[in-house]
Amino acid sequence: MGAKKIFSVDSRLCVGCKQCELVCSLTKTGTFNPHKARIRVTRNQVKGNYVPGICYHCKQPKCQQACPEDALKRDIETGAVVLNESLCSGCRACVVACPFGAVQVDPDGNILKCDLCGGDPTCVKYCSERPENSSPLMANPEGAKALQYVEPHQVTYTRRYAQL
Amino acid sequence: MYGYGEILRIDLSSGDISTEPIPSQVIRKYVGGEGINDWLLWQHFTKVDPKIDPKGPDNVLIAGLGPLGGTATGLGSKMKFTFKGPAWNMFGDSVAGGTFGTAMRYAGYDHIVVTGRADKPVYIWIDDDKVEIRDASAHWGKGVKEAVKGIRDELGDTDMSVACIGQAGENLVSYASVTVTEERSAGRTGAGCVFGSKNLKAIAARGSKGISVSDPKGYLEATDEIYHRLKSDPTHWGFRKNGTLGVVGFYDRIGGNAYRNNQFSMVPPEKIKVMLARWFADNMKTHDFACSTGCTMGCCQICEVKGHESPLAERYKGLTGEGPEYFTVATFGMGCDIPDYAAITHFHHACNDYGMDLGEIGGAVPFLMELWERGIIDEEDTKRWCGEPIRFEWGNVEAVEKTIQSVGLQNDRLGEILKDGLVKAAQNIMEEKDVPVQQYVIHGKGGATFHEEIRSFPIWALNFAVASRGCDHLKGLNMMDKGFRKDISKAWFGSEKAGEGYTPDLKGKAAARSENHTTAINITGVCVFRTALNPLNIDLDLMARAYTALTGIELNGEELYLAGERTYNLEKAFNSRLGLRREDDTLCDRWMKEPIKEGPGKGMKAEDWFDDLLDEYYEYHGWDKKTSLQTRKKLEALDMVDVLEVLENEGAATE
Repeated sequence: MGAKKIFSVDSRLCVGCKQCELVCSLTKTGTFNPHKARIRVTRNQVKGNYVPGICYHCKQPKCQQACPEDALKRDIETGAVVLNESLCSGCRACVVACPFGAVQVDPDGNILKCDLCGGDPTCVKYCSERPENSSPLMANPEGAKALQYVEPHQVTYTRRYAQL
Repeated sequence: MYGYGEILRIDLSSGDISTEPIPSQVIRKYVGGEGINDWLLWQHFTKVDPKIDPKGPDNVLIAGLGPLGGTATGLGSKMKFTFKGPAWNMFGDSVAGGTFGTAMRYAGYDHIVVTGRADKPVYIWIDDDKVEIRDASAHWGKGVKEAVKGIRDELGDTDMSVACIGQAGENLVSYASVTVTEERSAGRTGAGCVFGSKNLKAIAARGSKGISVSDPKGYLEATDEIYHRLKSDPTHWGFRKNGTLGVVGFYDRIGGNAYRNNQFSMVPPEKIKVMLARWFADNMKTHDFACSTGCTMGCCQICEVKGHESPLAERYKGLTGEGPEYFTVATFGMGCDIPDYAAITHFHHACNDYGMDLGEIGGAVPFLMELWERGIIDEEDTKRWCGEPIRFEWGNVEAVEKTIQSVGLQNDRLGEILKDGLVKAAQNIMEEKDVPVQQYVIHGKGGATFHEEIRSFPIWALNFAVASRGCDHLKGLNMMDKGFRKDISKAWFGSEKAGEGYTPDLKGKAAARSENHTTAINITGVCVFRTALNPLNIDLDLMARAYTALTGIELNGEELYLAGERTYNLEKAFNSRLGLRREDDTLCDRWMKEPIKEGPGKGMKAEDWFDDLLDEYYEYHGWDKKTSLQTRKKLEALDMVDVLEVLENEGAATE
């Protein structure tokens, strides 16, 4: 099974404010530190736009398959693939295995893994709302966000990563 | 200490590097950002004579970001460089978005103090606790883009945050700017010149320590309230979409644009049409973009010139990157009469790459164009100045391109004439031509700025004449009379009069209070664009609430306002030590004496009300009307006795 609701990412609407990284690190660590965020926004060096990189809690998670300690488990309630830190040895097999580069390592060597904040992801809540027809490249409605948390069939722009 | 980092000191002469905590009593008085930058500047110049040459090794360069910068208020992070300004030889500071300020703070430093002068070109690399002064000879002589790429390659990090100067700063152009990655500019008053004078090409920073938070839950609740308030402002969607470009159409309606060196205040409709934000969004914009960390407004834009959008698009085909701001449209689009976004964007990028202030250069070219129109300069002059008979006719892009290049590279007489700003340039030309030209110079308090019609909006006119850093609209940013905000006037003064357009009523008080208020926002480290323009929406109490949740230090809106006032008084005191008095708070002849020719403010000119409003302005600040100097009473009330002592010793304060 996959997650019940998943992230839908429309990078065309991402303004690169990194508010998602800030609220993520605040929620998870009590500090503002993008290096401790579970979500990472990267800049496309060629086009100059930004792309949020986030865990899609895949149907068949490569991170989970790679973990020698069995520290990654799917949460029955939310469908999230969650890291049990007490079992994690920090070997980084999951980091290497993830096809989206969505498992992070913080400066102290700890593995950072999105857990969907228990079913109500903070990053989505604080993602910048954009004005109607934000640019000629899209015809978005007023209030559209780069990050959404929706039922798998409602995913509009992200390729259906969760189907993997 | 929650929410705060340290002060990092770097002496480029000796190579000494040290850190120290910010004293807690300084935090209490000045909060952070601009406030603590100013305190550091003041401390430096208690040991060093403030009358030193700002281009010499005794000047100091301070970079700082306030405590709410780099956190998640949703209001962005604006850093400041503070120094003695080489552009106009008075207090100088300059603000930028970009990634550098936050990287500096995540590395653990809220303020960087650079003193001395390196004996060869260097750059500073900050990587958490590791701080190095490195050889920059490979990057010297290069434009910002190329230099930043070189530095990033050298450090092996393509996302490294860098504050960097171009050739203009290296060549000590007095109004050189610092460009902060990716393309934000600390433009005004010559921060880039101070970099250059210290042989400092750039400061690169990377930080992984982060910022500690006293009350994460309380902080997010304050953020929730900010989000809620932002959305309750009916203008917020337009601002998110168009940013400052929205000002073009708004000013067209209220007679706020300035055309052809401000000889006119209405731009012909067919030209306005292609400079509207709408035109830019429809034809060139590709994405919305937030210039700094934590800004959910995202008022900036990324654009692309495909080559067919406008008459000049072919010439600038392939240009990509950040779009221009109203500032650039006003100076080149309207001031030089080049109503073409492809060209305007190119000039914006060129100024940022050579690293020069758009305001000063944007004042210079329209001035030269007016001289051309009046027959004061001709092809013989331009041939003598730059080797080519460039025609400074209205709308000639070649003249703008050549001027920017000459100023940046300083390789001909044209660049030399303009090297020390517009007022000096006019003197240079008068000496050469023996014809008076001062009456065509648009300036206030000795400096040039971007062009907009201020004669019909006395608050802004006063701001331009009195700002601590010289001719400037940001020190006391407000929309009270321009936006007809009777509600703000009522809340601040108990009367709606400051919110009435095209009258001088209460505008002196409004200018003074706006300065204190805007400074109060600046010391926190967030962007002033939403907060200062709509102070009833995001009020100082709410900012103080976020601050208290972050730092654990009790603070209310009133105390934050006081800290802002204290900070602004420190800037004033710095200028008083340099000998600046009431007679220096002034505007150019065109704004003072020439009435507006057309539009809603027709017939208005500054001299009709200027002196009365200055009186009102000084009075509200608690300063002496006759000299403009600060009074003992005021400085004692602000708990600034140490500052008062210095001023009294130098005869720069009154009873």
